[in-house]
Formats: sequence, C-alpha cells, structure tokens
Amino acid sequence: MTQPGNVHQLVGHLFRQEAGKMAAVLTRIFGLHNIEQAEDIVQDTLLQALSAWKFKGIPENPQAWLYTVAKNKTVDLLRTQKRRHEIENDISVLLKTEWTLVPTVKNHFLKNEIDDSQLRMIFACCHPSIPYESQIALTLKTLCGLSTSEIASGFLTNEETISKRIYRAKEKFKTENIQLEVPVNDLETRLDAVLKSLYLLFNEGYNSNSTNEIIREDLCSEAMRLCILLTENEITGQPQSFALLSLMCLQASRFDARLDDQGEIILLKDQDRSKWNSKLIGKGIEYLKQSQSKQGATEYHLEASIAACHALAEDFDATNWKYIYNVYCELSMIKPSPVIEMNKQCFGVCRDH
Amino acid sequence: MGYAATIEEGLRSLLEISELKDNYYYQTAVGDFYLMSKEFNRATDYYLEALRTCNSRSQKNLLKKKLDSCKEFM
Repeated sequence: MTQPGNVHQLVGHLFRQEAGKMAAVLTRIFGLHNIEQAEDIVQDTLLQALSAWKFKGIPENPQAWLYTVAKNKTVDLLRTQKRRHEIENDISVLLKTEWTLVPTVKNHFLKNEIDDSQLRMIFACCHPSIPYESQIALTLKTLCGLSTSEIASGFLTNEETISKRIYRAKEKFKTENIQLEVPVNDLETRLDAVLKSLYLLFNEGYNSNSTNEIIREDLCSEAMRLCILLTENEITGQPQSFALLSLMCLQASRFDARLDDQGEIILLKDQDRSKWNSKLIGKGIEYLKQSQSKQGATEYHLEASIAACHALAEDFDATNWKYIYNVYCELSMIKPSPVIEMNKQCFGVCRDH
Repeated sequence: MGYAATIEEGLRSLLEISELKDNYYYQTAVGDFYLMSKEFNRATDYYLEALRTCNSRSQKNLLKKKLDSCKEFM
C-alpha cells in the first residue's frame, strides 16, 4: 500500500485518468439525459477514496478499487431509488431485473466497454448542434476529468464562462435529443466534427496563451488520447483519424524544444533539434503511412505532411521549403482560409531567403 | 503566384488578406516582411500593433526582441 501522505497527489492523478472513463461508463448506463447522476457518482467515489485512503493507505490497484466502489454505488442507486424505471436506452431492460442488474453494470466496466462508452461520449460531446467552444469545454470536463477552473485557466477565461458553456452544451443533449452512440449512418460528417474539436483542443494546448505549462500539456495529451481511441476503433479508425493523430504526434514532438528555461519562445530555426522527441516523430510518420487513402488527402493529411517535412529535416536550412509551399497551395484549395493564405505567403518567401 | 515569390510579391499578397488585420500573428508576419525589405519604420509599426493585441507574455517578449533588432538598423 502507498503511504497516506501521497493520497492527495495520487487522487489528483487518478481523477484525470479515471474520472472521464467512469463518467462515460455511468452515462452509458444512466443515459445522456441523466449525465449529472453519473457525474455525482464519480464525485462520491473519488471523495470516498480520498477519505478511505487517507487512513488506510492507497490500495495495490487503485483503479480497480474505484471501479468497484462506483459499480456498487450504481447498483445501490438503481435498486433503492427505482431509478432503473426512468432509464430508457438499449440496456434499460437489463437494469430492470435483479438477475441481470449486477452483471450488466459490471460488464460495462470491462476495458472494451469503457473504450466504447468513451467513444459514444466523444460523439455526444462533439455533436454538430453544440458550438465548438462548448464542445471542447464539455469534452475536457466530461471525458478528460479537468475541473472547471483548470479549463478556464487553459482558455484564459473565468470559471463562470466555462460553466455556462458546459451548462448550455448539456441542455443541448436534452433539447436536440442527442443519442449516446457511434453514428454509423452519418459517420463521415459526425467524425469530421469530432476531429475538428480534437484538433482545436490540441491547438489550444499547443498555442495557448496560458502560462500554466501543465494545463497546456494536459490539453494536448488528452486530445491525443481521445484521437488514439478513434484510431483503435473499427468504425472510427478512418484515414483522416490517423492523419490527425499523425499531425498531433509530429507537433507534440517539438514540445520540449519550443521554450527556453525562462518560458521564452524559441523560433523553429533556433530550436535544438536534439530535443525533439524522436519516438513521437516515428509514431507520427507511422500514423501518416496508415492514413493513406484512395479518397484523397484531407486537411489533416496535408498539415501532417508539412509537420513531417519539418520533423525530418536535418536542420532549418535543409528544410524542403518548396515542398512545404506546394502543400500549402494544395491546402488553400481544399480549405481556403486567411491563415492558410498567410502561411503560404510566408513559406513561399522562406524558400528563397 | 509561385513558390519562388519575391519578398515584395509576398508582402503585397499578405497585405491583401484583410480578414486578419487584427490578428497579431498576421501583424507580426507583415512586420517580418518589412524587416526583410529593410523598411524598419514600417516593420516597427506592425510589431507595435502586434504587441498591443497580443496577450501572451512570451509572445510579447519575442516581439520586443524584434523591435530591438529594428532599432539597431534605424
């Protein structure tokens, strides 16, 4: 057992890792309309852990401990409050009899079911009817276990604004009757929305004005974790999902080289390339290979190609600017935007000077 | 415009992007182009505008360094 003194630190770490998973599973059981119920159980479970572990020390397998407590609380609630009769989803019939109640709740805490629940939750949080800024706030709160104040810090705004965004997003669950599912029929459009949201989430961490490095890295790593979930699933593991994951890996590989010890920005040409994470570059290239598609390149393919070109250049002067400029030209055709146009002009001149 | 654009051509194209006039990345990019063209007064104007709209401490410090390099040549 871990010593009681480390309890707060470990619970904080576990909260990040497990709260989102438990919330997704419990929302799958209670239904999207009862998401607050699921969040209450997660909160109670973590408080119970904090209180019990403070005196008894941390158990050998804290994750299993948390899941057992959450399962028990769920079963108790479903039994005592007759809550099961209010649930209307594809598993509600299994929650209505004592014979199947406990095994059904238990089964939803198995690894593959947790992944499935998180995927469903991603699609719900990134539903097109919810504004992007609310999608990201809700994803961070529900799936990544970040507190409202941490999200506010990441976005350089106040807690009230973030709370409002999350509240409005949850209201959309009800008013738009959003289903907790991986949308097979409308996959391409819905997956686009999810990828866009994860892309923005990653960029928020990568380019954020927040001075809190831990929050910034958390935003990036959570975006990557959720993107990995998409690539590992048979339905959502589409070429564009791999391309986005490739882009994230290649960008994240430069994280440690972008700032000096005082937190000052180091420009690309001045970065110490030995500090670039070669393991992440390797993964990024591998995912880029896996993203090849007969349907042509998406914006993520092109951006990942640019990032790969930078990552593979021996030094700044050896960068293939002509290739980068050409990819920007292609990018400006499939995704015309003032920012792409600006980058295109900058890289065009970079090539010659 | 091909990739082998001159600084002048690049700058002209950049100044046509009206949607980003208030964006400090854009203002910095235009400032960089003027710096490359050795038009230090104009570069300074754009860097100062970028400095006004930028919130990040590290970005501000970077812009101050660029302003200092302009001063050296003025």
